[in-house]
Amino acid sequence: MKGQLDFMLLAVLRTGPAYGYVIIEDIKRRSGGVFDLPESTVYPALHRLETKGLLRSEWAEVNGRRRRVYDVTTTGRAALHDQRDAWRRFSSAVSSVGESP
Amino acid sequence: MSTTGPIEAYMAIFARHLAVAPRRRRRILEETEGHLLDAAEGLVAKGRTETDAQRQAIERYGGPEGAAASFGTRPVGVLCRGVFRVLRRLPGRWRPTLTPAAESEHHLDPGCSSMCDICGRDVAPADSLVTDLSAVGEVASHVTMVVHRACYDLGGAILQLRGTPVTAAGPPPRDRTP
Repeated sequence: MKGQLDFMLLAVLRTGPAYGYVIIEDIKRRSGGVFDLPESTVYPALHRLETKGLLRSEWAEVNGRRRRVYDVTTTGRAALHDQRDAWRRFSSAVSSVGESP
Repeated sequence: MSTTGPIEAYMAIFARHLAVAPRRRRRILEETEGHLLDAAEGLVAKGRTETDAQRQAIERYGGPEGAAASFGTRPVGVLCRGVFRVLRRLPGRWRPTLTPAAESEHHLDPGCSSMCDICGRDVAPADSLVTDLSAVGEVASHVTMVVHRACYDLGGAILQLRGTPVTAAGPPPRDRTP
């Protein structure tokens, strides 16, 4: 699940910078409510991705409050591209096996 | 959204269990509280009372102990980085001694805020000790640190961290009284 969470975080942030609460709500919305994670799991993952250089962050004033806003780096975009390819191959292979007579 | 109430209580427990480096700690505390307040405001907008919204935001976030632990813990070497950096500059072996002012009860000024030099957590005035590190034998230099009482073993072992000896340097001072 950790790998999938990282993938989803990169995918959500690919569309634009966001802070933690918005990222979590976006994951829930895009997954149709399937991924309703304990919200505390997201911040360690964001920090880990930042340590790896896949994300960057900075404090910003958003709606009257200081928030840590995250954005994908160039390295992060490349990693997301690779992970998407890998996921497509994996899910295609699983589907092939699962649906074969 | 008020910062008092369930979120305040949650953050107090979360902060107590958060064992990370001081700079990272400040960021995590601010992000966590900000998230809970955002979540609670979203629920208030949907018709919840402020107290119920805060409780539900906390429930969705997860228990404070587990949430704090998910950020990892500082390894002993990192935890005591400040101390070891100082110790490397001291000649020979060393031992901590209480400053004369700390031999009975020592408190920081009530309005003063400080951070324990060993565990990196905030030190409440009533829980503080100011301690000198002195070289064993001829004292060529010494440094002064503010630490939690629990991070400093008054029984004589050297700088115990949560009951685990961090280091030992020479016999405990014979004139120490707990």
